[in-house]
Amino acid sequence: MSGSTQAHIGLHLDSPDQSPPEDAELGIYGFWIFLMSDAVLFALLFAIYGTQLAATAGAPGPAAEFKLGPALTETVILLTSSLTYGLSGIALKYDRTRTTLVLWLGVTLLLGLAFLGFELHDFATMFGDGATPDRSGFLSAFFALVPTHGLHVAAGCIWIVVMLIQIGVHGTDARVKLDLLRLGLFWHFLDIIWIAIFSIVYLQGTLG
Amino acid sequence: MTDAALRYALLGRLDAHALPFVRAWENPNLSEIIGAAAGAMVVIGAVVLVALLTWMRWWRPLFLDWLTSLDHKKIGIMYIVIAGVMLSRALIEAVLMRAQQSLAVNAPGIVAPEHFAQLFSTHGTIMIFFMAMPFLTGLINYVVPLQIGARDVAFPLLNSISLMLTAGGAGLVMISLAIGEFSTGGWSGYPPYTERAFQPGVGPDYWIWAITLSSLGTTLSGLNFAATIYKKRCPGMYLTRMPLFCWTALCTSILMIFAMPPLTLATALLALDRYLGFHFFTNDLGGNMMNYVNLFWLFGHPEVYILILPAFGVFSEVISAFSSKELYGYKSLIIATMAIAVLSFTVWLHHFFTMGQSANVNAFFGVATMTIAVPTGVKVYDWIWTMFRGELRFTPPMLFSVAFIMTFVLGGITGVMLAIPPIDFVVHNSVFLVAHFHNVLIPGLLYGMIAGYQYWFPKAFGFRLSEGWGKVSFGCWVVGFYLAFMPLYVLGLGGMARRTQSILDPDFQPWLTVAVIGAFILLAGLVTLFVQLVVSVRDREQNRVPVGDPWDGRGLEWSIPAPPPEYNFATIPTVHRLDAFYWFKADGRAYKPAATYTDIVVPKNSWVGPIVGGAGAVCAFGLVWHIGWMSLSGFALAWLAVIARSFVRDTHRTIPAAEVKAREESWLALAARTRPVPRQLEESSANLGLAEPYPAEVAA
Amino acid sequence: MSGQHPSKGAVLLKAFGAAALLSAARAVSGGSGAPRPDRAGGLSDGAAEKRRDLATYGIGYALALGLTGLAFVVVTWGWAAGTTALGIVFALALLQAIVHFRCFLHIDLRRSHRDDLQLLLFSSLIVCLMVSGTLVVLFNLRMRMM
Repeated sequence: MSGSTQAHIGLHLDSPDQSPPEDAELGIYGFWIFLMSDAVLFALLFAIYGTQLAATAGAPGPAAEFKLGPALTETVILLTSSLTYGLSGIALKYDRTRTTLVLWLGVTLLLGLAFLGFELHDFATMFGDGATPDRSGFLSAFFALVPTHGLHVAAGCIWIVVMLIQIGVHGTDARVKLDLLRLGLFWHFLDIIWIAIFSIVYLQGTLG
Repeated sequence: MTDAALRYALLGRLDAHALPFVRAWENPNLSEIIGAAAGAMVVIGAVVLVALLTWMRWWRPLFLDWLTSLDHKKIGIMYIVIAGVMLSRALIEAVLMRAQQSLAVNAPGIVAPEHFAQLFSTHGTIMIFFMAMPFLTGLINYVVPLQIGARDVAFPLLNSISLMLTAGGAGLVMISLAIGEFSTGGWSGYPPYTERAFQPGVGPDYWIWAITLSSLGTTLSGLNFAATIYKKRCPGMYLTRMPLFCWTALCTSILMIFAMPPLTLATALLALDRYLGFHFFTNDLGGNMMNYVNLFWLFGHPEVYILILPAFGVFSEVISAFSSKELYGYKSLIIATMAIAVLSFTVWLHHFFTMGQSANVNAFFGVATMTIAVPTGVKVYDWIWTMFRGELRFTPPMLFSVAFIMTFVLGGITGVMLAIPPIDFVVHNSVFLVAHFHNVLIPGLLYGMIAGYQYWFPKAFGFRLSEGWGKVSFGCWVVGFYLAFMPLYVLGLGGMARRTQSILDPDFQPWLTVAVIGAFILLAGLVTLFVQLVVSVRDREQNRVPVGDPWDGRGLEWSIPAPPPEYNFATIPTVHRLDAFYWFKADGRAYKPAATYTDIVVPKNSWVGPIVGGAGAVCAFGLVWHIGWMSLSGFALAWLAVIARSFVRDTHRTIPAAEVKAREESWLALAARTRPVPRQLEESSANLGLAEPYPAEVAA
Repeated sequence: MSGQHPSKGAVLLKAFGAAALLSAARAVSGGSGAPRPDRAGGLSDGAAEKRRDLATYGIGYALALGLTGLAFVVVTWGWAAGTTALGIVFALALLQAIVHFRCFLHIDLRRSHRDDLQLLLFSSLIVCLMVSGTLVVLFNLRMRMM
């Protein structure tokens, strides 16, 4: 990681065997800027959630609907997926073959899908209880915030699939490496947003 | 499946009544006929365009040279073309509204209330999102890479995608003239009025999706420009050696990145309310319309600084050039620009002082708003000091700059008045407010854009614009502005509300009459601008400036041929101080060949931009009319194009060093045998783009 | 899963499971990733760097897990109540975000990361202005509606 001529966030792909992709600095900085604009979007979704926390309008509220067990499970799954993505990055940086890279990407994908599965199950439970977004402002705010994060995770999963295909077609050439670095930023960013979600939505909801 | 269900699945809520022609046929009053005429203009315009393209055989070059181009210069020009077209429509709408109000004092006027409401909604939406934003984005696109010594922006493909998304949004707004109708909720679209319960029709949906396309394009452009300015400056071009236009572009792009998300969110949540029955902003079940108002103006205030900062940048360049002096107080201008950028995020509540907050909250935002006037004042003084004791040349861009300084300050002063909550309570929602924001937008943004267009036109196209027609146009713009908007201050203080289709107080009549005359003179200003263009193209051979420096400029953009080669610079320059080209000329280092020339790699054209923009517009149209298959396929196609592109590896081509060298040397030979002109002759045909060297004592 | 409050056993089980996964991960990555000795004494350089990278991720993971567990525990075991608990939860969240930025995204105070850090700090400023402004204004409006 030391001695890099490229100044960018995220893992630096300069090990003894390879140099970072050209224009990594530019490509990653641009993506980082995009993530900051996305962060503003999420921040405002949180603010809206905060202002509509009390607007339960007789429909089921946070205490009834938020179950900490699944929330903790989803948190650990997503956090672990961040770790496994980081391990894939290390494999990309140091390993001679692509096996571990693909392996860890695959594990990350599975964990991402597992996260989504749990989350969809949670939503189904809520719908079963009559806690649908058209019932109240609070539920609207919840169903805007958490599924937006979920959609981002889904997009990330699709992106992992695309990257796996790209590795198959092009190997780990400069463009593929750059895209993997960007996907890494995206994936870690989503985990950071999830920290806020489980704190502000689930834990706060349980504290009541 | 029943017939009705099948029909709905295929066509959504489209039916014959969507067409204004059918509505005018069934209900032939003047208002409907005007609406049908407007729809007809769109259809006729499209037909004429297709016919022209076919007859002139311009289809191939249109697609292969322009729409698929990733060259920042071409993209910049296309943005400005969009702005010009949309300016024409929105200005005609303005004239129509002024005419209505002058004719509707205790009379029906010429347009019905719903029609009038659509007019002010489209006028505002178009002017902001489809005239001003494309215009400034186009100028920044064209000029900034040249000024920082780069070959292109950071992400050329993203640039094309941004352009096409904006074009798609503009197309959607144009289509709403011929199919369906537009929102009647103003350019701000406040719920609950725009909620499904009160406006179940297509109007607010057109507005939501057109703005969403535009705001996505703008966010991506902001990202692109920030990355370009941060990472693609040429060697030696420290941030404090950049021309001021680049500084304002940088602050503008930062504002774009952070201010567009609140808008994207506000319209998305409104869409969730309308399409899926959510309760963000509804009247019942926990909705809160103030959330919308707050979100919208979190966007809306930085937005107006997005509009004005590039204009400030243009004026800095133009005033310095045509005062023949370096810009006074460069550092203070930078600090002022950054201060304005940051402060613009702290004042948004002044757009809704009257909506129920406590006096303390209002006071905080009032004080913050007044604070923003201070850096703006600093800039005005810096421009005035730049002009002081300079050798002033009153070319059209300079005329616009002088008019800006005087007129914008008036608008700024009324802004400070409005920043005081008790005063705002009296004049909020009156035409005093309308006068204020036009007073800052027209002399500020619009004069700036026109000045920038005229200043850099010779660089882009290789010949000067007719200065005579430029001065006529200037006269119309200035006289027209004063006549059209000064009466509105009086009317606002007299109690006339904004957005009103009928007027009840006969005392308002004389002022309204003056205002409509002003509106027509403004229209003349636009028309003469087009005449200037036509005349200049006709006379272009006499006005060519191939050597590339018609105004004796100071920035790097003047150090290359006009029009510039695709790769901008034969060799990337190294700069050592501010006003780099000025000092190259002064030190005798301008127009020198390079030691070596290398191959230059440029991006190949790409269809991804047009596909994403087109598919986005198709998706949006489907969303407006509830045509599920159309929206899904549009959305899928846009993403498939992006994903498919990521597999392509052959994305660049090489221009061989020999070709670069040949072009450069022929240009340098031209410069060597061209007669330089003194500044006094810059508006004559003798000006071939080479400026006379300065007297020795000035250069030192 | 069981109802609202996971049993202490469940939490501990998850922590062990994660630690096991982590050690397995280290073992797997450590094994197949030995770099070629292509420079004088280069073998140890590459391997040491890799160990450092792995350690950063590992420490980050462990810290994040701990901070997460702590937050859940404060709420479910009732170590604090009401606003205090909320404050602790938010503080832990902020800490964990910093851990993510430092360990997973490699942002620190080095010169080469200056641009990224600047952007992050500026974004945080804007986010704070917008969110706090929104909350203040909307709560002020609500108070005046009561």
